[in-house]
Amino acid sequence: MKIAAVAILTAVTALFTFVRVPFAPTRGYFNLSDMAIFFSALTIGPFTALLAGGLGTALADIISGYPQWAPISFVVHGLQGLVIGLLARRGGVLNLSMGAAAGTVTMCTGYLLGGWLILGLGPGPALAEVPINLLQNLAGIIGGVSLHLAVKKAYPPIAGISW
Amino acid sequence: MVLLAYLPVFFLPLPILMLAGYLAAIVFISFLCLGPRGVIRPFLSILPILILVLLLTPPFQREGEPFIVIGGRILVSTGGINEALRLIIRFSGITLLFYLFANTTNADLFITSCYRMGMPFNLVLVVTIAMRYIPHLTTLYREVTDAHSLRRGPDAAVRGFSPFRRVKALLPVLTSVLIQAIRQIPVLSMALECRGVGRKVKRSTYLELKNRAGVMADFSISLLIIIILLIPLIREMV
Repeated sequence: MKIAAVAILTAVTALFTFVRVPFAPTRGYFNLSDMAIFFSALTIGPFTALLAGGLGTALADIISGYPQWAPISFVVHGLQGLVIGLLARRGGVLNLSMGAAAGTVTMCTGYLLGGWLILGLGPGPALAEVPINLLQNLAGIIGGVSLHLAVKKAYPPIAGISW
Repeated sequence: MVLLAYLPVFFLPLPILMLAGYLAAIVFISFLCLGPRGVIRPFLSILPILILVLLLTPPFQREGEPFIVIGGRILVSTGGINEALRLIIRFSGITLLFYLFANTTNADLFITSCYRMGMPFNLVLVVTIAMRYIPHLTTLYREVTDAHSLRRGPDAAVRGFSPFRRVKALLPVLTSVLIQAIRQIPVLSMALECRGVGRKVKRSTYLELKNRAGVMADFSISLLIIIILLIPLIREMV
């Protein structure tokens, strides 16, 4: 069951990464990968979110022509899923807020350091990406929690899958 | 795969001309392997970032001769321009190398070689299944989007660039896709179990029979019986 759950949620995360939401007329957009990661972490668990988040976003980066970001996405989104799952899955608004905040910090810091030091973009362009990542994360938190509640209500057997 | 080993060269403190020559060599290899499209496409995808690097790097690096001075403050210097060019070459080179790797490597062969090099079988299986499911879920997403747009009618299209309104409009579609995807987990799990994945008792191997004297005796007797039965037939023919 674990392998099947991780595989399907990896594919779901990759699909959500392909979905682009424009936020500015200048072709600026963000993706919904964080929504899938929040959903996986809250609904299934931290380890599924770790693998599905990391592998799904890395595969999406490779397929959509941004393979240079794949190693960074794998580590950053994987850690983001693990952190959210460990903190937010205990239930309660406080834990959920802590998980969301920790996930956002992990993702923004990871991409900042990855872009700056690993891909060698320098401090300016790496910092310029932070607001977009924050916006993407905020949409991910709202959407991920909404999806978690909606799917739990519409498909109760999901409660039986946990890792 | 070998090309990726050359990535660290872009991080060495080499003269810009040398790095540019190295980038030109990679562009040439990409052109030979992938054609002109294979060179232009990755550059177009990173163009906004390259513009950001060009605009935002010089204010952080003010060494060297002043180039643009506004109100007594050095805005752009030769050191800043050099650093911006170095970063542009580095990022373009890294992008092109990864693009070349992703487009000249067979995904199945890559995963198989990862397994040979010690990657856990379960992880290999997850990646392989996920890669099979991505096109299926993409088709499912399109079908669900079409179904929802038919229900809502043409006036329901989101106007403007409010990201939250757009995300809100996408939520019903994403919920339907997620439920459809999650329903496949038990089915896939059962299929994997049927194939023996996750079983604690390992799959049996073929039993190796030892070449004993008894086997040879059985074979000889069987052959003798056939010959005895065939003797009358041979006599008639003669």
